[in-house]
Amino acid sequence: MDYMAQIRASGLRKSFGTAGARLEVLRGIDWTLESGQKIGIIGASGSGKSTLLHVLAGLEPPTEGTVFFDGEDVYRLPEHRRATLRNRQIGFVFQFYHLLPELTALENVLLPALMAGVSQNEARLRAGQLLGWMDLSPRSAHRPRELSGGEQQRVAIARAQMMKPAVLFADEPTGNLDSATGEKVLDYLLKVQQEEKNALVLVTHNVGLLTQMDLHYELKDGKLHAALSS
Amino acid sequence: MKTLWFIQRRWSQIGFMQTLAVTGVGLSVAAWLFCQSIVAGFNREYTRSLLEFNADVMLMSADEKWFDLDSTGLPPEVISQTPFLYREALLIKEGRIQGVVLKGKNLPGLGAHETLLGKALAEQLQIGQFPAEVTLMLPDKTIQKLKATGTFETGLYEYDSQFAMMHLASLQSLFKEPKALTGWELKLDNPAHSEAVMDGLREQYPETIDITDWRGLNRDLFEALSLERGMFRIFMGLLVAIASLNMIATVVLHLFRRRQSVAVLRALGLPLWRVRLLFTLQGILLGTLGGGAGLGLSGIAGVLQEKWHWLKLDPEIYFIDHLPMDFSFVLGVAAVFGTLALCGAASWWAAGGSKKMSLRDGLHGAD
Repeated sequence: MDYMAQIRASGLRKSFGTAGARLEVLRGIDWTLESGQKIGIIGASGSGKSTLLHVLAGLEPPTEGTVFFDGEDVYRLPEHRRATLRNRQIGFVFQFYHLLPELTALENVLLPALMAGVSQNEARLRAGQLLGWMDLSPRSAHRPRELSGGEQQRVAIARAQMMKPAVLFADEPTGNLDSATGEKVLDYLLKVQQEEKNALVLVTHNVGLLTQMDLHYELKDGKLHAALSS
Repeated sequence: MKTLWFIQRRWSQIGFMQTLAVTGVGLSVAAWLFCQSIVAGFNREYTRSLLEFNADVMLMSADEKWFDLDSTGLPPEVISQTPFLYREALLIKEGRIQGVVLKGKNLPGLGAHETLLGKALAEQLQIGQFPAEVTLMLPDKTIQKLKATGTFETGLYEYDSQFAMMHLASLQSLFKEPKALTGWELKLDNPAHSEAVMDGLREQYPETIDITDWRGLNRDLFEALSLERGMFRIFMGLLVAIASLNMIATVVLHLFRRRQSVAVLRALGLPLWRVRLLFTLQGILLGTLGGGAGLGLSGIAGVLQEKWHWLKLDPEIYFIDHLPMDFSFVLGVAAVFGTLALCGAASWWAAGGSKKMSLRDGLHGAD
């Protein structure tokens, strides 16, 4: 496959707290993600996986280091352009789904498109298609509280794919689900990722989920260690 | 913008804090408009009464000697002119004595030694039936009998309680001053043109003729009203400002409650300024509700008061017997827009707190 660098991170450090009680979560990470690649990152609870994901995705600036997305230094971009980058190029799937409770499944899915200025008709068409792929068409008018955990996460996956992002970040997407539902959700995630040909960065503490990834890393002591590759 | 409306529409449930904020804005806008309507009402009533009793423009002789008015040289705005004379005396009826100002002018229908009494004056003298005989004591202590044929009412207690009207020739004869004249009263096609008319007349008449208009004659009253209106605008405006600042608390609370949704929206690509605008929209929506309610409340109160006069006043103090209200819809709409601007600015400022909200904290944990 012809890969080119989508994300390049170098010298990433992230610490929290004051000088007296400083917690260094990331301690110098150099890492590259090629387009279309599927990367799994494992690590113990509290190891800084989510922090790394947020830093790589332009959500939280590192204390030190740089993140380049398609050759652009993400944290040198003005805030509104960073927001546009997240909207157009990055999709998120969170552990706790984070659907807006007042919106229906369909409305949650079309939200990123509305933010991008896509017409509601066009956005609804695409959202309907994604919900169809997720086998959720009959549930499109339901609000999150009327959906099961697995269904909510499938809606979140559809939302993350709405803008056909270059990179999909999934932060413990099955962490809040039982194993059977979790596997099913992962299948949906990978199915739609194959369809849209995004790069995927999956963060988990479940080693079993990594078998379908191209590369595996382990985040330990604030550093990324290359693990197995398939 | 349509994304913001899309989200705002789904967030627009009215909770306790929002109800409080809307009530505060509504009541303060209503109070502001109520006060403005009252001052405008007093202004309108005073102007109407003053113009009913007085002329629009007056030319007064300093020595109170008769002078002729050249009717051909009058400005075109003048539609009528009449000579008048003021004299003071004591009016006596069955042991009750009142000081009066006698105003003599050409009054068709009034005969010699006949007078019309101000309504409140007649009440003070306890004259219930007309015609009635009254006694007049002049400054030289001479006594004259007059026949009071009826009353007049201007609506201004000051006039209705102190004035009696007579025919000019009768008054001159009574005071044995056949050539006495206080001046000429001019009626204009529009009282607002009085300044221009006065300017024209000043060029024609010598400085011994004092020329004034209905505003100049009641300058103190109109200045007091103007001052009152200005003070009301400022102090009641402060009330509206304080109510609008309540919006800060409402927006901050809303922002706090929605911090997770805000973090998600930002993660999905909503820039900070649009997040801020989203919460500003809420403030503007609440301001619209409150301002609209205030406009409606004060409008309804104004119309009811004008129709039913349910708020009474003591005419001896306020000159009129009810609280006058002149509700201006244009001023009301301007007040609502002003409130929207205040609420919008307060909300925009409060929504600036979204900058300090950590995405990490917002995205951490379950819904």
